[in-house]
Amino acid sequence: MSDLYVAVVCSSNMNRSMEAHAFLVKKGFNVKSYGTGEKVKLPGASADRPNCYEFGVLYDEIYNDLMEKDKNYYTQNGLLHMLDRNRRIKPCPEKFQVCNERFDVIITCEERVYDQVIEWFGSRRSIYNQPVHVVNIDIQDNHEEATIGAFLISDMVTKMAQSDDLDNDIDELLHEFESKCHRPILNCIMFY
Amino acid sequence: MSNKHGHTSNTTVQNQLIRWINDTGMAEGNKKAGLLRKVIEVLLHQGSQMIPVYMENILSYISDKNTDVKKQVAYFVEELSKSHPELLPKIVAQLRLLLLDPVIAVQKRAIQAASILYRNTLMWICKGDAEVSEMKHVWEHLTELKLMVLNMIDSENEGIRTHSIKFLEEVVLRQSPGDIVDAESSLDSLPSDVPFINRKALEEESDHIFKLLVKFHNSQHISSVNLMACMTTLCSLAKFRPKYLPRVIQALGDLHTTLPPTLSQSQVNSVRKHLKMQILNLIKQSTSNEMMPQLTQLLIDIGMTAQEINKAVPKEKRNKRLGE
Repeated sequence: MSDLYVAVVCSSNMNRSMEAHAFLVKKGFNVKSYGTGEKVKLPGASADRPNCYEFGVLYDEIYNDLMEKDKNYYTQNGLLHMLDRNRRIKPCPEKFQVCNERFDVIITCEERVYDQVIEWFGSRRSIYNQPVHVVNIDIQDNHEEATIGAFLISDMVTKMAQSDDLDNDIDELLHEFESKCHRPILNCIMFY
Repeated sequence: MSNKHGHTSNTTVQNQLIRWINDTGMAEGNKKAGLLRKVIEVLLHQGSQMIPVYMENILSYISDKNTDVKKQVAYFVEELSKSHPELLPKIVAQLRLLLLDPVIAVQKRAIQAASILYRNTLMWICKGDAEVSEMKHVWEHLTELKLMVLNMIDSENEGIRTHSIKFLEEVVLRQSPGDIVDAESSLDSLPSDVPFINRKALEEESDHIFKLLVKFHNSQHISSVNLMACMTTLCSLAKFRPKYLPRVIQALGDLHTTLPPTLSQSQVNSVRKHLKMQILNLIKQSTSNEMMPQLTQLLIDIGMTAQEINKAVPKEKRNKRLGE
């Protein structure tokens, strides 16, 4: 559809970024997804005991682990369904800070993740001098919001892909998008 | 045995290359760009000894009508400057043509390639392996390219401006003295006996460009994206060339008090956030120790509490400050 190379980034590369990843792939975009957190965190049996995994552990392995822990509970709260969806898209959650790809656009799903992406760019020296637009749109980390967020991200990326000159149009494009979706947008440009 | 195999494999690569080169000539549009990409990748990574033979075939696409094809040529020139700097005298003139291309996307890719070429040319000159006349030829072309990009910062196209800012950052970095850690990528690494290079003049020019970037950063009609690009560039210069840090802090302070009036509320939020992130990044650098009070004051001015600042300051600096 377009040669725009897009990354969607949330904290654990489980819910928000994967929902958007799935949506954008269906629309024919060239997309990858990542998490910026220290570990992949999923809700556990109680709020203070989340299930934690390293990035790189297969979605399939996490699925089986939760199945063993409490099949009924993790079926009811939708985690198994989410992991099943994820393992059909790619093998494992990936950490943004260790990826070697160069994107045209990076979309983050919460301000803290946006900060971590900017910090990562700030911690290294640009080698290729290739620009990338980093855009944040706040999406709460639950199933319903992830679905709405994926629609919004898809809408935004579609508009970006339709632009003949994104670098020139981005200010105006995001301004229009923001007034339409009624969510605050943060953005900046960084260099690989 | 291995020689025979090596020879066969080279012949296979060469045959494949010739086939793709011929196909590229017959193809159109995206297919042409795709084939050219394959030719370039194979040539760079599998058949580098054949580059002098087939280089012209690729460079001839500089005036193609397809944008992606011309961007591929810019990529090829950029890569050659890194892996085969001895070919710089033969490729440097091509970039000028790409910079003058009527298509904005090609111009932007050419500016990006020019910034990398600039870096690689200086490293090539430092090695001193080439003939002086060749180095002089490349240097003259590069000086012309630099002037062209310098004028592009006033382009009507925002993306051209963004790319020009980054190019100029590269020029200021390379043309100013570095510290011991960064000596390799600074003016210090340039040999003092190259007749066509005047180190003092280069340093003066980098100071001049730095001032121009500060002026651009604090102009009232800059777009929010370019304001943030310029802010990152100034902070990067302050990070690697601490002599610029006081003037960068001043520029960031001026920006905080007088944001461009054209920005929307959301753009103001993005710019203020970027300002905070950039200052926090500066605070973490060992090169900013001398200017900690000014940086801390700036963070207080933009609304951070003493507690938040203390949390953001690296431990070793916190201890040092307490010790003082």
